[in-house]
This record gives sequence, C-alpha cells and structure tokens, in this order.
Amino acid sequence: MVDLWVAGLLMGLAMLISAGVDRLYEPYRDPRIDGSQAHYQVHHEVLFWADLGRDGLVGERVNEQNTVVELDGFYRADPWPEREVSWSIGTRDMGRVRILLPAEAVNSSVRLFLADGDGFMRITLVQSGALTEIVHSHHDGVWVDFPVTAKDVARGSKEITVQKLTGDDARVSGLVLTSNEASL
Amino acid sequence: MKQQWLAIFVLGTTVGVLQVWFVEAPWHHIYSDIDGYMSRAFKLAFDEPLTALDTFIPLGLPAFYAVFLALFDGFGFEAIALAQILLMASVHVLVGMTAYLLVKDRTTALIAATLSVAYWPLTGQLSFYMAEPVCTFLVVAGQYCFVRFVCQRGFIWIVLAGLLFGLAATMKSQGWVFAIAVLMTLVFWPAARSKLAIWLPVFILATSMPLIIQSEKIKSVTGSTALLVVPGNGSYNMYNGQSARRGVGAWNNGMFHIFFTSNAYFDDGLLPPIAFEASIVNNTVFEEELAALWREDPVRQVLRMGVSASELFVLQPQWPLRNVEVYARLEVFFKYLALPLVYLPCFMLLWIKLKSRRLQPEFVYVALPIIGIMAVAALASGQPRYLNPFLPNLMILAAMGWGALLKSCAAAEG
Repeated sequence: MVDLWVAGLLMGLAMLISAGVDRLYEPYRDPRIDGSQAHYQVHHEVLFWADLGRDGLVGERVNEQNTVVELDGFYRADPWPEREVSWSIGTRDMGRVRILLPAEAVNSSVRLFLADGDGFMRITLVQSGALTEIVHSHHDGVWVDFPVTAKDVARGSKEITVQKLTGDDARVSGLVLTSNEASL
Repeated sequence: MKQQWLAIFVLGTTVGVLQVWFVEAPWHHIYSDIDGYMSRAFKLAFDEPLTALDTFIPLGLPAFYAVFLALFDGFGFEAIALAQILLMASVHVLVGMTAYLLVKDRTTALIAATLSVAYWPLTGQLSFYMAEPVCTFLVVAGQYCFVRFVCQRGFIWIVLAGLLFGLAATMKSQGWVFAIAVLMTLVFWPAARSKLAIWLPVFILATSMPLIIQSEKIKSVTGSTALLVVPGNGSYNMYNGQSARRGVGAWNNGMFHIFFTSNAYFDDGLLPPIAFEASIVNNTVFEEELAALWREDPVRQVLRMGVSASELFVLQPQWPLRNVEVYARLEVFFKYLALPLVYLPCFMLLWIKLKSRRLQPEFVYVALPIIGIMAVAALASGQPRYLNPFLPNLMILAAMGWGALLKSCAAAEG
C-alpha cells in the first residue's frame, strides 16, 4: 500500500508541475482586448472619410472633395456590442470597394479599417492592384493602407477587393482617403 | 491463452461495430483534414496524377484507403470502416499479448486487454476516418514484434517491427517515435551490444523501406533530388503548435489553405489564426517564422513547449467523441476514471521499477515512446488525440502496475 501512496504523491507532483507551467504561461495567452479603439482616428488632412455601415452602407462623415464610393458584394452588418467602433459592412465571400478619386487625390492613400469584434477567427485578404495585405489578429481593428498610384489617378478610380479567408465574414468599418503628407 | 485472445477480439469487434453502426458512422461527417486524405486516396485509387500540394501530408494513409476504394468500388467507405474495426480489435489483443510477454502473467495480460477494450475513446476513433486507428494498429503490432524479439530473439521479429514502424511513419509521425525508441533500447541494452552491428542495420533497413517508397513517390511528383524526402508538413506543424495559433493558413497564387488546431479544451487559450503569403509546402517560410518566435521571446516558447507536453496528457475523451452529444456525460466519466485506473498504476509501476533499480529493456522500451511523444508534443502541439496511438502503452504499463500491486497484496496476505 505504501507503493500506492507514493504513486499518488508522484502523480500529484506531476499534476502540480503541469499546473505551474500552465500558470506561468497564462500572461502569454491571448487577452482579447476590448479597448477603446482609440486608434480609429485620423489626425491629418482628410479628403474623404466614411464610417462604413454606421449610417447606411456608406456613412459619410467627411467629404470635402465630393469623392464617391461604390460598394459591391457587401451588406450592412449587425453592430458589435460594447465596442466603440461597433459598425461595419461585411462580405461572406468577396466584396469590392471602388473609390472615384477627386483630382486632388495625387499623392494620397486609401485606408481601410478592418476589425474582428466577435468570432476572433477572421483572416481577411485585401488586395489592390499588385499589393496584397493579409489581415489577421485584428480584434481591436487595424488600418491597411494602399497608396493611390499614378495609374489610379489617370483612371480616376481605385478598386480594392476584400476577401474572407476565415471566419464568418470579412468586416470593414472605415474608409479614409488622406493626403500622403499626413499620417494616421 | 488463445481462447481469451479470441474472446477479446470478438468483444473488441462487437464494440467497434456498435460504435460505427449505432453510435456514429464515419461517413456521417468529414472530420478535419480527412478531406485531404480522401482526395489523395481517390487520386491514388484511380491513378490520377498527384500535385506538389498533395505531398504536404504523409501518403501512407491515402494509399491504405486507396486499396479499399479501388477494390470495393461503391462500398469503399464501409470497407474502410470495417477494416478499422478489425484493426482496433487486433490492437486490444496485441495489448494483452504484449503485456503477457513482458510479465508472463495472465491476470496482468487480461487487465491490459480489458482496459484497452473498456477505454471507450480508443474505440471511439472508429467513428472517424483518420490516421490514428491504422497508425495505432501498426505501432502496437510493431511493438509486439520488438518485445517478442527482445524476449525470444527471433530474427524475423525485428524485421517485422522495422517494417511496421516504417509503415506507421508513412501515416503519422508517431511512427518515428516508436522506431527511435527501438534504436535507443538497442543501443543502451547491454545484452544487445555483441550483436548490435547486425541488429541495428537490419532494423534501420526494414524501417526505411516503406519510407523510401513514400520518398520516391514524393520525388516523382515534386522532382526533388534529395536522398530521402518526407512530406512537407513538418515545419508547418511545428510553427502551428509553437505559435499557439487557432490555425495557420497559407495564401498563394489565389489558393488558400488552412489547418485549424482542433483542441476543444484549449481554444480559449489559443491566439487567433494567422496566414502568410506563401505556399503551404514552402518550409522555409515556416522555419523562418518559427525562428522569429524564438528570437522574440524564448521564455514564452519554453513555457509553451511545457504547456503542449502537459496538454497531451489531459485525456480528452470528448475527442473524438465530441460530435456525439448524447454521450457527453460519459466523457467526464472516462476522463476521471482514467486517473485512478490508468495514470495512478503507471506511476506506481514507475516507482516500483525505480525502487528495485531493475529497468528491464522491454519495460524501458514500452515506456520510452510515452516520453518520446511528450517531446514531439512539446515541439509541435499537444492535441490529446496525438496520444491515442500511445494509449495502448499506457494500458500495458497500468496493467503491469495493477499486477505488481495484486502480487504484493497476495504476498502480504501469504
């Protein structure tokens, strides 16, 4: 019976070590930040700004240059609760954002704000021309930038595709056209 | 003991049939990466060309499935299920036979076989098409052969052990763990020293044969000129586990591939999935990303390895049974039953062996793969299902522990 007790002690020790390692690792587990999303701000010259899905599909907040945005394949998504940037538009496959650029758009950038406010499983592919961004780990939201090229200006528009790779859908909350002389 | 083994086989088959036909049939759903295994199996069965992406996973299981798909035409899926049932019933018998070889005690052997049949999660695997049931059979059969070789020295047994471990390694990397355990046992076994020059190359050659066949097949697809080529998922799996991500994806040329970490218990502790702009078979990318993780925070990585190793032993009976909701309560039952019935006697045996300072090579050999899979889990990830092919070893060790306890009780009374 002594052997049985020693075995119990050894097993307890193994479990204790395991629990200890787990505890030490705890700070590295993902915190799933529910922050203020204060980074959803633009401090410099804004040519156009739309809170997508906030007030209709394209909720224009700033439109100094009469910029026009066309959306294809998106729907207005249910708001995320308890989040500062609760609004968004979503696509379950692939959506297209087309911005008709004003003449002042030379040397500017189009920026999209993507967030993953609930499932925490989203990976989104954002492409424009030859530029590709794979967006992941964006619970709190992240800006992706695409410079407006000379070709875009000549064409008078810039097209960005947003494609869901994983998660329920791909979500975009904001679209901003800024001068490149300023930064977000 | 032939009658007992036959009884265990019949019991194991019956339990397996009940599991597949009355609890959950594998054709009711496609689990995880089995889609990939099946698509490759169909290609092999009907002689369609493989692509480089097909070499991402080991080809042993698709080849095994392909035989049934080609032979049984419209009943291929049922034939695979039946084969899995018979293989798992054989596992229960082999567990008992191995225990008998180790301790020459009927009671211990029957305890081991009974534990194996009674531990439902082992049988539960039969509700799924996945590599574990076939790999479990191969490693348990290979282990029986090697233990028989150690106990009785028949040359054929070490050849058979090598072939079976080699085949297992073409299905899951767990096969390597058993093969390495054999090499370590041979090298450190005093009695083997005089014949090591013969036994070692024979075993290595036998183990290599299935791997060479797989390598040649991969080379014919990828055009690689390397001597021995293994499937491309090694670096990917290591990054997947050590990054503690819920999934790792690869986007390349308009194609996106992702594998999710199906770890039901630990999902909350995992980071969100990540994807790279690269081919999933591009090992360099995942090796570089892995190195970056270590440069970023080595302490975190060491702890992560420890967590993975311990997660492996959190018996997770709801995997693979988690899709069978009606049995949810039994999951808890099996989880807590395993502690006193399997883990405790294993620790007891360890203590008795350490106390007596008599570590027989065959005992060391059965215990070594458990340590080996801990190391693999630490390097890759600790999904409890990876322990499945090693559960028979735990059953054998537990039965030996119970046998030793019964003997000491009898001695105390006598």
